[in-house]
Formats: sequence, C-alpha cells, structure tokens
Amino acid sequence: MFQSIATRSIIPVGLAVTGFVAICCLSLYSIMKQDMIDEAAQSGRNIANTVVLSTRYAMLHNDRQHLGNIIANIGQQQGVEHLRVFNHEGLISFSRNTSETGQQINKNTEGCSGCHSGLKPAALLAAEKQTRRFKNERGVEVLAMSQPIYNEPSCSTTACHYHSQNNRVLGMLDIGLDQGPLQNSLALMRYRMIIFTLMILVLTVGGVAALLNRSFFIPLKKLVDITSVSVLSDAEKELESGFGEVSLLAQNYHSLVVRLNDAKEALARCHSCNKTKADTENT
Amino acid sequence: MTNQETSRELTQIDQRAALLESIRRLHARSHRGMWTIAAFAFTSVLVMLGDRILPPLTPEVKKMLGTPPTSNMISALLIVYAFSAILLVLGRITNASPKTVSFSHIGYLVCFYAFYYLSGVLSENFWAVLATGMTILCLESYHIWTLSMAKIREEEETLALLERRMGLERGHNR
Repeated sequence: MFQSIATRSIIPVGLAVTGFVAICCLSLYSIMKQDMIDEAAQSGRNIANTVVLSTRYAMLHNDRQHLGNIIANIGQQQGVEHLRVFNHEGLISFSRNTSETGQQINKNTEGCSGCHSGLKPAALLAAEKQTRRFKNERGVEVLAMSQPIYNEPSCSTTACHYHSQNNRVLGMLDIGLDQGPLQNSLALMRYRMIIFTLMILVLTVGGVAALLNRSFFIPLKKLVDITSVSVLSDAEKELESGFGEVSLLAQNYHSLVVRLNDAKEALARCHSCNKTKADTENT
Repeated sequence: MTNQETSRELTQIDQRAALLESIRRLHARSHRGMWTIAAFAFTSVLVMLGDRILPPLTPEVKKMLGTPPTSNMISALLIVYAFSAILLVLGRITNASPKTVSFSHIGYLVCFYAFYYLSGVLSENFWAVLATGMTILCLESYHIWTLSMAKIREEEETLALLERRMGLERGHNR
C-alpha cells in the first residue's frame, strides 16, 4: 500500500498541511486566549481602581460603616467572587463575605508573594504581577487583582485618624472576578477553530487528492492496464488525448508496439521468403 | 576449479556479504525515525509532568535569568521554525536526499518548551510545540523510511541476481 505513487504523493502533502494548520491554529488560539485574559485583567484592574477611588472619601473620614456598605454592594454584583480590603498588617478589615473579616492573610500566598518575597516588601508592583488566576473553594476559575492603597499626604495629616508618613502602602484591595464567561467564550472560539481547521484540511488535502487522481492517477492506471496486456486493444484509444504527458507516453508506447509488430512481421516475411528461396534452389 | 574461478567465487561471496550488511544497515536506518519520534514523545511526557517533577523557579532564579520573551514572540518564532523545517523536509523528499532524521530538532523543540516554561505559559502552548515536533519528525521519518525501503528493494534485487549467478556457476562447475 505504501509503495503506490498515490500513497507516496498524498501522505507527505497531507501530513505537512495537516501539521502546519494544526500548529498555526494551536498557536493562534493560545495567542488569542492570552490577549483575552490580558484584556480581562486590564478591565479587572480598572474595576479595582474604581473601587479604591470610590472608597477614598470614606477612608479619609474613617467612615467604616459607609466603607463596609460600598464593599458589600459592589461585592454583590454578578461575576464578583470576592472583594476584600486588608490593612498594612494583613488583617482583613472589610469583605463581601463578612465571616472573613478580622482574619489574617498569609503573606506567602500567591498575590501577596509578589511584594513580600524579599526581606523588605516592595512598595510598587508591576501591573501583571497584581493579577493571579486560581480555582476557588467552589471550583470557580477566578481572575483576582490586588490593588495597593497608597499613603497620601491627606491620609497622614488628617486629624481623625493617623497613618505614619513612612508607610507607603496602607493596605490592599483584593477583588476576584469569575472567569466563567471568559472560559465560555474561549470554548466557543476553540470549537469554531476546530471546525474551521477541519474544513480547511478536508478542502486542501481532498482538493490535492482529487486533482492528482483526475489528472495523474486515473490516466496512469489506464496506462498500466494497457501496457499490461500483450494485444493492443481499443482501450489504448482512451488515452490518445486529454491527459497531457501521460497521453503522449501512451502514444509513444503505441507507436513503439506498432513498430515492433511491423518489424516482427517483416522478419517473419523475410524468414518465409528465405525458406521459399531455399526450397526452390533445392528442387 | 581454477584459481581464477576460486577468486571470482570469493569476490562474489564478499559482494553477497556486503549486500546483506547494506540491507541490515538500511533496515536499521529506516527505523531511526521511529526512535527519534519515541525520544521526542518521551521528552514531551517529561515536560508535561514537569510541573510535578521540577520545583517552581524561585524569584532569585527568575531575576538572574532576566525578562523572558513574550509568549507571542515565541509563538511567532515557533511558526517560522515549523514552516521552514517542513519546507526543508519537503525539499529533501523532492530531491530524494539521503540525509537522515536529525536529533537536533529535539534540541530546538526542548528550547521552545524551556522558553514557554520561563514565560509561564507552557501549559497553554504545550500542544503547539508537540504538534510541531510530531509533524516535522513524522515527515522526516516517512521520507527516510520510503527512501530506505526503495534502496532495500534495489539491494535485494542485486542480491537475488548475484545468488542466481552464483548458483548457475556452481551448477556449471559440477
């Protein structure tokens, strides 16, 4: 099976096209997935920033009730998995989930280790390091963002409550968004790409196979059939025109057989002629 | 039997042995592609299990290695590499080049795995590297296999001819 010209022509083409289309689709999917996650992270950071800005007034006036209400209301929004504010020491001061309030955050967990990995915590954190992805206890894929709440002159100088000027970061706002809609979009995109890839493969490999079959394998098979029989038949006429080089080959073969037959006949005639001549001479 | 006949028979025995050795070598060469694919598959399994086997990179090591290239840049490079490697193999198939399957491809592909790992996007791009490796290595293996099989058939025909001649000569000598 692997020795036939049809197989030897189609396998490399099919393998190369299938492989390359698969590589391109997998890479393209990965790039698009990364872009969509980056976009979701950017919009998440914007939400976190909005929350920090909207709580700024309540924080400056140390209005804890107002602050708690803001956190609870925003946390109820669809797609928000968690929303918490913790202070400089890592104690959760406000949370959408009230049972978390007062709990201590482990500084070695992901999300905290970005700043707390060194001896001295980093005051500034790159945007991509503020983002993390994980599965929460309910099995929901979460995209979480940590937004530092920086110290401002108005924070350290207000009379109501006092923060030291040396503390650059007063606390953190941590918001987690459900990635379900994003995962659904990615799954839809994946199925569409698989269908698109299969269609391209069928068209490319099928098209190449059909063209090769029509213009090469069928005439070649006919040529093989014709050359396999010892007697010239009407079948050879089928290849006289319309198949390009294969027709030319069939014509050459035909003329070769005709010339060979003529030569054989001439030789036979010559033999019989010589025999008659010898018989006449003998008599 | 004259000296000339004895020496001719010896030469034919040598030729037969050389042909058998050549057929054996060609058989071994035709299977080399399978070994390369198996080696790559084994490497890929190790890479897939890498998260469980290898400890995560510490921030110090990451700092020492510097900023990794972006995943988009690595993916673009992977596509260019796959395209040129497939073109090269197709060129070799067209020219019936006897160049064997090269293990260097495994090295290049491991580099891609390493770059994706350092960029932290290996899980998303693992299948793309695997598909690249499998396509290139399968194409190369197929090319070498068909080429070796064609050579083996040639050598077997020559061997059959030689054995027939040796048998005839022995018959004449008797």
